[in-house]
Amino acid sequence: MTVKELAAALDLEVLTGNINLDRQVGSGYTSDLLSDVIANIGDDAVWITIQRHVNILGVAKLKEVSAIIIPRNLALEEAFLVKAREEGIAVLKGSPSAFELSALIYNELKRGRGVA
Amino acid sequence: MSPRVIVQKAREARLDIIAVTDHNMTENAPYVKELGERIGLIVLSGMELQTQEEIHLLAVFDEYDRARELQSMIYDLLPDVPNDTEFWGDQVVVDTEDNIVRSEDRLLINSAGISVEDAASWIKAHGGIAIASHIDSPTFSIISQLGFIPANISLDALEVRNIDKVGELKPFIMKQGTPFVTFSDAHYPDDIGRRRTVLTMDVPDCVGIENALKLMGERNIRTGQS
Repeated sequence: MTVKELAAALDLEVLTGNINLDRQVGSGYTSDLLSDVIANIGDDAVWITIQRHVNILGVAKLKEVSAIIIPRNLALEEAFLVKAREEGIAVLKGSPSAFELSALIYNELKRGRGVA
Repeated sequence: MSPRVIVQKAREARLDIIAVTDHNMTENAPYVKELGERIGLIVLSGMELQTQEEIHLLAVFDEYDRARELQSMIYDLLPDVPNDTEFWGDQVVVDTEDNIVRSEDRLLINSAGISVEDAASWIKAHGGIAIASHIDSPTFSIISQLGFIPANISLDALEVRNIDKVGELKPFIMKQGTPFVTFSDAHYPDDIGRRRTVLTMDVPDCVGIENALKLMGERNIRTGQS
C-alpha cells in the first residue's frame, strides 16, 4: 500500500503535502535511537519515532524511508517541517502511541499482503 | 578545519589549551599538536565518542598514543556500516600541510557498542579525562538519552552550552560535586573560542586539569551550585 493509503486507513495527518504520498510502504520500524535505525530499518519503511529534531531527516533520507510517523499527536516545530519538505521526506502524525501505531500499521501491512 | 586553521584560530582566541575531539576518531590530533607546539599552544588528543545510548562523551588524553588506543577499541565496536560520502561528506585525516592523509570508510556518525558507564571507566583507567558533552542539549546528551545523570558514571565534568543556566539542570543530576564546564565544541573555524573554561593549575596536563576540576566541584558543593 502507498503512504497515502496508509494515512487514510489509520487516520494519520500528513504534514508535508504531496511529498512521497505515492511511495510504497514495504515495512515498518519503531525506534528512537538513530544508530539503531541506521543499522536495522528495512526497505520502503515507515519509521515510527518520537524524535522530532532535524537529525532524523538525515537518517530518513539516508535509509530512503517512505515516511516518518510521529505518535501521540506530539508537536512538531515548523522549522523541522520546512526542512522535511526541503529534503523531500514525508512526515505524518497520529494520535495513538508508538506501540499502538506499530500494531495498527503491522496489521495494515499484513492485511495488504493477504498473509495470515 | 585543517590543523593550520585550528591552531591559528586558537591563538587568535587566546586559548592556552585545546583538545581535538573528532567524532569517534582521533587521528587528526597529532597534526594539530605538532603545529600547536611551535607556538606554545597545548593540544590534547581525544575524541567525542558516541555510546550505545547515543550519548556523546568527551575523552581527552595527554598523549596521542592513548587516544589512538581508544580509537582502536571504539572502531571495533562501531557497526560495519559504510559512510555515504555523498550524504555525510568525507571523514578525513588532514596533515600539517593541509594534505588529506586518508579517508575513513566506516560511518563514524554512529554509536559504538559500549555503555556510557563502561566508556567513562575505560577513559579514567587509561589516564584520561571524561566529560559528558553538552548535557543541556536536547539531543545526544546524557540527560536527553537517559532522562537524568546516574551517580555511578565516572565523569570529571559536565559540559554545557549555556553556563548561565546550570541551575536548571540540578534536578537531573544524581551526584553532587561534578563541575560544569563549557567549551567551543567547534565544528567550524569561527566557532573556536566562542566558549571557554578557565582553570588554574601548576602543570597544564590531564592530571592538572583533573585536579582543578575536582577543586571546582568541591567549591560548587560549598556554594550550593552542585
